[in-house]
Amino acid sequence: MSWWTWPGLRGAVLEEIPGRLVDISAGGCSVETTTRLGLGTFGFVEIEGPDASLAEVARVCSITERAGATAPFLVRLEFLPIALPVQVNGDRAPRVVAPLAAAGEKTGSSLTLVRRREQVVEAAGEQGAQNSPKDGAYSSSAAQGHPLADDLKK
Amino acid sequence: MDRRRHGRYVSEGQVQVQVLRDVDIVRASAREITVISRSRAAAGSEMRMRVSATGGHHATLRVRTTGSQPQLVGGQLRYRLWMQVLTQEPEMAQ
Repeated sequence: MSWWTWPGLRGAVLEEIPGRLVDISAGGCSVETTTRLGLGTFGFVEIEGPDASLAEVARVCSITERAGATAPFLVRLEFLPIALPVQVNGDRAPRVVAPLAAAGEKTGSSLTLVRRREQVVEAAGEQGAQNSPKDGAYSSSAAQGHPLADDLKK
Repeated sequence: MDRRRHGRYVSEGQVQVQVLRDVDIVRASAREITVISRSRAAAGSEMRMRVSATGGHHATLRVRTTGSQPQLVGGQLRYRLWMQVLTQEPEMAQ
């Protein structure tokens, strides 16, 4: 049976928005983007830097619009303590985190942010996310039942 | 573990933010899918779409936006997006 003939079809799109990391801490990061993100938007953040490489589930907690800037949106993201769904991340190979050793010396206990990434890779196929975003920024299909984005976190 | 209690450091690098947005599927076929979305999408933009249905069916599609049109739905601004289905990705074991 083909997917387009399934009854009660629901959908969720995964948009990929590039940005530049401005600041990062154990609990979140600030990113410059050219695309507006809604407050409370839920998603995944992948960061590639000279001394860090990680992926986190995150939620937009504040946005500053800077008129005239090349990247007019300064987006602050809060990392959420939930695992990445294997369905979404399945085509990405686990990242080598060795370069993070240097970052660990700088960050001290903040390295748990990175070590968790290893745990996520190991556990992704066994357990799902348990968190639920407070903001319904993506839940436009609530009238059809629970948002599909929730399914992706299971 | 509450990572917010940990120390802070500053770094720079490239970031990819992947945002999940639920959409209402209006029409679907093997080659095209029409949805109502809260956000617009540029023509030509490619993204991954997850579709599911009652009975636990689900599939992951690679789609390309071919058109977008703003419209009011229940007094709210929404966008009707026309998308071309590029590929259907194999499902991962759960």
